[in-house]
Parts: sequence; C-alpha cells; structure tokens
Amino acid sequence: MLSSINQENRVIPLKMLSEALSTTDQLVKGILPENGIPALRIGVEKVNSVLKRYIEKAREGLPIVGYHFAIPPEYISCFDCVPICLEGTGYYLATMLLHGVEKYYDMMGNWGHPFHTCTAQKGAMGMSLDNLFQFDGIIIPTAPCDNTCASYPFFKYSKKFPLIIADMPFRKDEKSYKYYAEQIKNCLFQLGKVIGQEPDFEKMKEHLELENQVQKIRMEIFELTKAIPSPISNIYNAVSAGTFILISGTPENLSFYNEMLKIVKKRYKSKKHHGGEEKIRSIWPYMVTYFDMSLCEWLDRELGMSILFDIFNYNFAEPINTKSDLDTMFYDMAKKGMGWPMVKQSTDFYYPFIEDCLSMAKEFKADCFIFTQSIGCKQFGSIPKILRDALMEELGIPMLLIEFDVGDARVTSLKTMKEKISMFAQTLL
Amino acid sequence: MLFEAISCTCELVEGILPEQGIPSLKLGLNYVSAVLKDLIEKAGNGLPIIGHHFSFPTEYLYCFDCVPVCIEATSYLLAALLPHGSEPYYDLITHWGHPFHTCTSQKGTMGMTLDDLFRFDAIITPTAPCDNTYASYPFFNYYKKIPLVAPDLPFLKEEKSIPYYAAQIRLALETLGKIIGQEPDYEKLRKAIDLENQTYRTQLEIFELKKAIPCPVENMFNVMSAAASIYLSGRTEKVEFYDKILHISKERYRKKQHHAGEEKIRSIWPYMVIFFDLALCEWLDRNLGMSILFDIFNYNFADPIDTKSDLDTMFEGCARKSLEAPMVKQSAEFYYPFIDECVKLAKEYSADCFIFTSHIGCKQFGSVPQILREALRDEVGIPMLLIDVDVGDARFASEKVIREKIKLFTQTLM
Repeated sequence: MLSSINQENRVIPLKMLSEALSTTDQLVKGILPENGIPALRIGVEKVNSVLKRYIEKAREGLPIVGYHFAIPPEYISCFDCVPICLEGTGYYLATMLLHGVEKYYDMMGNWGHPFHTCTAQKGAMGMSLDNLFQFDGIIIPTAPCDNTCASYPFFKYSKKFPLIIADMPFRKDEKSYKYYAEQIKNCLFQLGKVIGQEPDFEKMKEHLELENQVQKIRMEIFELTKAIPSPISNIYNAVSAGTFILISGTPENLSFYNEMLKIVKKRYKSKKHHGGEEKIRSIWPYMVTYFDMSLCEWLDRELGMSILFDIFNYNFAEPINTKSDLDTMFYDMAKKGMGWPMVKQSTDFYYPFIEDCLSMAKEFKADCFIFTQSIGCKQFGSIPKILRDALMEELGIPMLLIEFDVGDARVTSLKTMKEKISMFAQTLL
Repeated sequence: MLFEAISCTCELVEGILPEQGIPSLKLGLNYVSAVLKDLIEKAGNGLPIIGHHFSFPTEYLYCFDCVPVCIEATSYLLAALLPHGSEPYYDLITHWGHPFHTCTSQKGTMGMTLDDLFRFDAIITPTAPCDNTYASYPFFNYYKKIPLVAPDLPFLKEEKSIPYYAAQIRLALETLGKIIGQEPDYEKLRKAIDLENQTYRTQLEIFELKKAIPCPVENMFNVMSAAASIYLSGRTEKVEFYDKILHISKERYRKKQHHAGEEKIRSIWPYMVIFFDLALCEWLDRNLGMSILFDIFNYNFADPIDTKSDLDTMFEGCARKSLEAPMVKQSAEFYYPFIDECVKLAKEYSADCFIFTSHIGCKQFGSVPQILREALRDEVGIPMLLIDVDVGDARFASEKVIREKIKLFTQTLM
C-alpha cells in the first residue's frame, strides 16, 4: 500500500496546477479591484476547488483516469476516481506556469515524438514520460484527428497504461449515434474492469443533470453576447474553455456559470463593456491563446476588441435525457460527444463549419474573424482560405490568419501576436 | 503530361539499358503507358473523368464507362518522371492558401486542378485514412465545384464494420452513377475484380520469393508495383505485368541471382520509398548492394473477393479489401498490429535493417518510429534509420542528403 503522499504523487501535474491557480488567485484578489476580470477570479477559484478535491481523492488511493478532451468528464463520474483531462491539464499549465509546459514538449521531442503533433497532448505525454503522472487507465475516442491516433499509443506502448478506445464514427446520423452510444457504454464497462469498479449510472445521471443545467446557462450567455457592446469579457472564453473540459459535471461548474450569467446580465442591462469601449467585434472560430491569457485582457482594454467566442464557446449540445431508460441516455451522450468542439468540425469536410461561421457572423454582428492555426491541425489549417473568401464575399468582413501554437509561445510570441492584431485592427477602424 | 513523360522514359530505357536491365521498370512503364493512352482516348471521346482517392481501388470504378484518375498517384508519378516533379503545383496550391504541412500526394493534383489542368466530373474518396483527406478534398468541392462523394470508412476493423462499409461503397457508386448519368454495371465490376483476384495470387508468390537470399526482385519493382496497383488495377495489363515479373523472379530465384550483383544488406521500408528520385532504388541495388525487400505498397495483401456469390458478398469482399489497404490499415490502428507485423516481417524476411521515411504530412507514421525502433532492436536485434523526407518533393530532403544518410547508416551495418 502506497503512503498518502506517494498516492498523491501519481498526479503531480494536478498539484502543480493547483498551486499555480492558488498563486494566481491570491494575485488576482490582491491586485485587481473587486470587480476586475470576474471570469478569471471566479473561474480560478472554482477550478482550484475541484482540483483540490481530486488531489485529496488521489491521496486516498482512488484510481487515476486520464481522458481525452472529447470524452466529457461527467461520463466518467460513474466511477469513484480522479478524472484528468490530458489536453486540459497541458494547456492550463501552459497558461499558468512561467514558460508553460515547453519543457515537456521538448522532452517528448527528444524522446522521438514528432514536432508536428498537437502540443495539447504532448504536454501530458512529457509529464508521463517524466513519471509525474501514473494513470490507472486512459479513455479516448478515435476522433477528432490524427494526433489522437499518433500520440495516445505512447501511453500504452511506452508507459504501459491501459488504453480504452471508443470508436467514434465519422458520419453523424441516427445509426452513428446508436453505435457510438454502445461504444461509450462498452468502454465504461471496460474501464470499470481495469480499475476494479462497476460503473454507477445512477451517480452519473446526477452529474449529467448538472451539465444539462450548465448548458442552458451557457446558451443564455451566448445569446447575450449578441448585444452591442458584448457583455462578456474576452477572458471568459479562455476560462470557460478550461471549466468546460476540466470540471464539467461538478457543482463548481454550475456555480461558475450561474455567477457569470448574473454578471453578464448586469452588464447587458447597463450596456457596459468590460474593457471600456467596444470598437471591434471579433469571432475566433478556432482557439484563443493559452500560453498567455493576458492577450484577452489586452484586446479588451487596449484595442477595444471583443472576442465574442472561440471554438469552445459556440458549440452546444442538446440536454441529455436522464429520465427515460439507459439507452436513451447513452444515445444523447453519444450525440453530445459527436457534437463536441473540434470533433464536430474535424470530420465534416468543411460544410457545416463554413455555414456556421457565416450565420454566426451575421447573428452576432461580427466585424472580423481571427483564425489561429497550428501545424498540429490539418483540418483547421486548410479551411482559412475558403472561409476568408466566404466571409468577404457574403458578408464583406475580413479575416486575419495567425500561424501559432496555442500552447507554445516559441512558435509565435505574444509580442508578434499583438503586433499582428494591432495592424489588422488599424485596417478595420 | 504523364503519358508523354512515360513515353519519353520508355524510349530512354529501351535505348540505353541492356535488354535485361531493370525489367520491372521497362515492363511497368510500358503497361502504364498503354493504359494511360487508352484513358486519354476515352477522355477524348467524352467519357466522364472521375477522380478517386488511392484507397478507393480503381477497379471499383470500372462499373462505369469512365476515365478514373487517382489523385495521389498522379502527383507522385509525375514527381518521379518530370524534372522538378510536381513542385510547381505544390507551390501553386500553397500560394493559394493551402497549408504547407498537408500531404503532397494530394497537393500536386490540387494545384493542377487549380490551374485548370484537370476537369473532374466527380471525385470519390473514403473518409480515411487520415486528416489530409479531410483537409484537402473539400477544396475540390468548395473551390472547384466538383461533386464529392465520400463513403464513410469506419475506424474499427471488426466483422460489423464490413457490411457497413460494403453498403457505403455500393451507395457511393450509385450516387456517383447519378452524378455522371450512368447506372453502375456490376457485371463489369465483377470482371475487373476477377482480374484483381488473379494478380493477388501472383503478387503473393512474388512476395514469398523475396524471402530468398539474395532477394530475386529488384528494388525498382516496389515503385512500379505501387504504380501498377493504381493504374493497372482491374485490367489485363496488371495480370501480364505481375506474371512477367514472377517469371523473371523465379528464374533469378533458381539461379540464386541478385539483380545488381551482390546483395549485402536486406532492408525493409515500412512506409514509402522515394518517389521524386526513382534512381535511388537502382543506386541502392548497385552501389550499396542494399535490397529494398518491400515498402508499404508491397506488404499489404487483401484476400481475393468472392465474385461468384451474390452482390452483397462481393461488396463485403470489396469492403474487406479497402479496410486492409496500405495506410488505411495502419493509420487507424493505434500502432499495435503495425509494430507486430514489422517485427514478424523482419524475422521472416531475414531483414538486416529498416529504413523509415517519415513525413510532416503524416502524424501516425511520424509518431511510430521511436517505438518501432525499440521493438526491432529488442526483439530482432536490428537497427532502423529514420529519414525525414517528403517522398514527392525533393526540396525537403534532397536526393544527395538521402543517399549520404543511407550510406553512413550502411557503414554501421557492415
């Protein structure tokens, strides 16, 4: 039997993240005025509260389950375990630590992993290589991209962590949802065998219901973003992406969105913009920067540019029916999983994505798009030219394309990003 | 362009090489040239031009009266035969706005289509094997307004995947038929598949002969066989090509003869050989005595398709074959069977080393080398050379650099 400290050491990156969040929390509370960047203040507090609980659970010896960001964490709540999102942890640490997780990307690169795969996964891979994570099992879908097929086998082959793979179909129709529902269920049973637990679907229902409530609130916030000026702060997008992936299905997540909605409604009523004056309304159809979240605040305050939403904040699933039978519940879970950010877009051969972008640009009165693209993602890398043409021809709005890596400042620095956006903004005003 | 380049090369090969020199090149080019001539004539007669992904076997399209054009093979065969290959077309599409890091096999034809050198009536592509397909094929539909038919190829390779993909292939062919205004003729398809079944046995026999030391098949065969598997599919030319190669290989096998004199090193290339420089194959054979036993297009064999039973059975055979296609098979498998297979092939074929060409366009094959290298060393005791290359673009790693790397590597082997 491992001592509690050794048990806890199976999740060192969570401890690192929790400590970094505590420091940020102190700084935010100590330096910022009481109403300053509430999304950050509330988000950091809620995420850290969940992380502390997870660390405590790890200390008690509960199994550590890694999951791909496209497996909603509430699905794993049928187990008494410590769920860890590999992509979420990597990128959250990239945000919070000085030099982010570059060290771990490099470790993986030196080990022999190719430079052109997704850094979201490479961070957690490097940490596992360095024995900072000890997973009892990892669960992933076969989507959304080649990075998953290329990177996850490392955990199984090199680290001998059991890897459970849910086969997610490309096509999105009724039979696919049924098929994927069955896959999710099978995988949960497999995972249960690996960690020596029976999945408790009654428990899972409670967490799914919490998320149903969260979805409603997120939709309401999304709707309010249509207002001019936008009543959300840019940083809300980054923090919301984090809570969405790391703490979904927890009461803290619900509480985060409830508090945010209140603030957003208040701003909406008083027609107030978080950064003073809204001059430009931008949509970021892919991701915002994680290696430096201060960009969000800089855009709000220095350029008066609102980020209306990024990819984690415009994809919403229907609520999951938890009142009927298990099959219905799993069917809805499958639908949600297949409509997940990036999963939805990566297998669509562009079509709905372009249409979504056009319709959102109109509905949310966007002045421009900012498309961040990374070498790790071929699908999102290949769409800008067509999207740019479509936006220009159909709506007459421009799109800025920035090559970067959301989790690695060495590809495109914050300074370069700011310069590019500043120059672009000059063409708009 | 391809036809002219091949005709030119054929003339050179016939005129310069001795009668027995590089028979696979001579035979391959002649047959591919004959097929291209026929296709060009058909295009001239106004038959519809159908572009297809390399993992949608050409012979499936012979249920139509059409001109099948493989998107990937066209780029790479041109890369092999033209000075500077398909580079101008990679650049064209990159300047247009397509990312540099997608697969050049698709980018060449995209550039040619952008330049209006191709006018496809329709394109058919499965949803596999990789993100490049998702990233690149929509260009044809969105930008060039070419109808795109995309049968859904499942990741999972289980019994239930077979009827699913079989139905998808049939549905896709029917959709394609509507676009080009033809009914699919499944009798014609049967005949094309029967021809494929015949070559399957011959291919397996050649593969088996490669176990012999020295290897009785020249390196160039791998490249020509990759081309034949696309351009000659479902046609009598393919049967003849492999029959003749088998005949030559058997003769060499009996005489224990190596194509280039002495075989010093037996190598397996689990991914691709270089397409922009075909001469490398011959150089390895002659200058280093290194045999390329096979590359990815020459160690994946699907079972023959049952054409004698009903249509459903035939389409299930088609599905099975497609799921086993090179790259499709490996790209969705999360390494496991690939590593096992490599270790097994290394033992069975008495390989001395592996040469792994890795490319920025392919994440799956890019991420496996370290684990494969360890497996080969631990289980078979042989080394692996990793070369970062773009098999269709000489500007990434030049022919000179590749040769130097291999030369240095061989010094560690002998």
